[in-house]
Amino acid sequence: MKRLLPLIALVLLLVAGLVYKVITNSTPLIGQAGQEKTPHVVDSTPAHGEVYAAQPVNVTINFNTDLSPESTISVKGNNHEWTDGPVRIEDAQTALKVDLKPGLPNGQYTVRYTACWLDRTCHDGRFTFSIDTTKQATYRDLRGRAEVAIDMTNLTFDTANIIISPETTVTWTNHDTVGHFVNTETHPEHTYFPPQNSREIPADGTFMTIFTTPGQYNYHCSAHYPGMVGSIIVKE
Amino acid sequence: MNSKAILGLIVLAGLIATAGGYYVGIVRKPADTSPEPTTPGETVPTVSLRPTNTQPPVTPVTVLQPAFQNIKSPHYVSSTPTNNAVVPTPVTTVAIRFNFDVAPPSKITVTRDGTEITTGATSISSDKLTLSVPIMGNQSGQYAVSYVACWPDTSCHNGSFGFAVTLP
Repeated sequence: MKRLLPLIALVLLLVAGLVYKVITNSTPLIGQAGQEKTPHVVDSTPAHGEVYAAQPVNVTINFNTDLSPESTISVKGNNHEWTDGPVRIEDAQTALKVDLKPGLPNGQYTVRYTACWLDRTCHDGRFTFSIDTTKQATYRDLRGRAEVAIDMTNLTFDTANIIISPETTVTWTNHDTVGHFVNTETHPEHTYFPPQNSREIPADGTFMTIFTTPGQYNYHCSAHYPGMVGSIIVKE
Repeated sequence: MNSKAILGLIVLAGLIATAGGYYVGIVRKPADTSPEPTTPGETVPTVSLRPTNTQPPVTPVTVLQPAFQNIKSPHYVSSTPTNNAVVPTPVTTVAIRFNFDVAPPSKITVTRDGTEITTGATSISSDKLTLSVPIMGNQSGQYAVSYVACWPDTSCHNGSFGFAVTLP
């Protein structure tokens, strides 16, 4: 038996090494619970685990290298697929985006994506987000107006959370002495709703955006992030 | 329990562990964790042989440029030179264009074959959309560009790319 001990130890070491190698080569990058990240992923809108007060208009995933057209996104909730139309690649081939159908109910949604690179290798990722319309109670209802004004004062958007009707024009005016920005999520990629991206707005300057598609549009000032944020819900 | 039984149990445990690892690693089709992707068509670089006193001179073989992956910071639009460009003339400036305001302390660093060859500070254009830096790019070689793009809130993100200079 004593003569067999070195052999036994060697066998155990070899087996342990083999199992470790197989497992580490097969395990995707693990983020928070329920999230699996691919290489080169930067962030997403919605973010993993984020709770929206109304449905997002799309799911956008940002990477730091070129995506290829084989990339895909699936958004499922209650065993129903909610993507609407083909996946698009935007922002110098680094943003993967898919529109969502209208009418997403409250609940949790799982986003599964396959990110493919120019050499056609692909990686799978996953994250979740939720919708809870009771959170709209904190929003100011400004529906029925063709135009809505938001002032930027004291490093804040004076009406941070609002609900507006489709086809409403929102105008931001800078009443501070420092420059501000109005930028869509996520900071600093700003890829969720590009028409809501301003350059620097100087003192007394303005910026406007027309919102047409129902859904939630979170935004921020890139010079004073994350303290200066706002949210617009477009709703019939 | 005799030694043979103990040995048998150990071997059995090892087989179970191996089978489990096989199942996790192979049967469940793991995510692809292949190494950094390369540009299609990349070939293995070859090296020239130094001739010896007893052998006839060997014709030098051109060292092929390794592919640089373009790691793009947010708002990256383009660069000059472009990623994996092969430039036949000296390069004196590297410029990177964005579609959003860049701010200090954004910075570009350029190395040639591992040696830094930037010759001045990184500058931001008046419209805040371009970073540029002067470099000493008057030698043939591989030039690696790494940059830090910073935004109005002073947060920053990295990017990188590369190019080659092949002078006659």
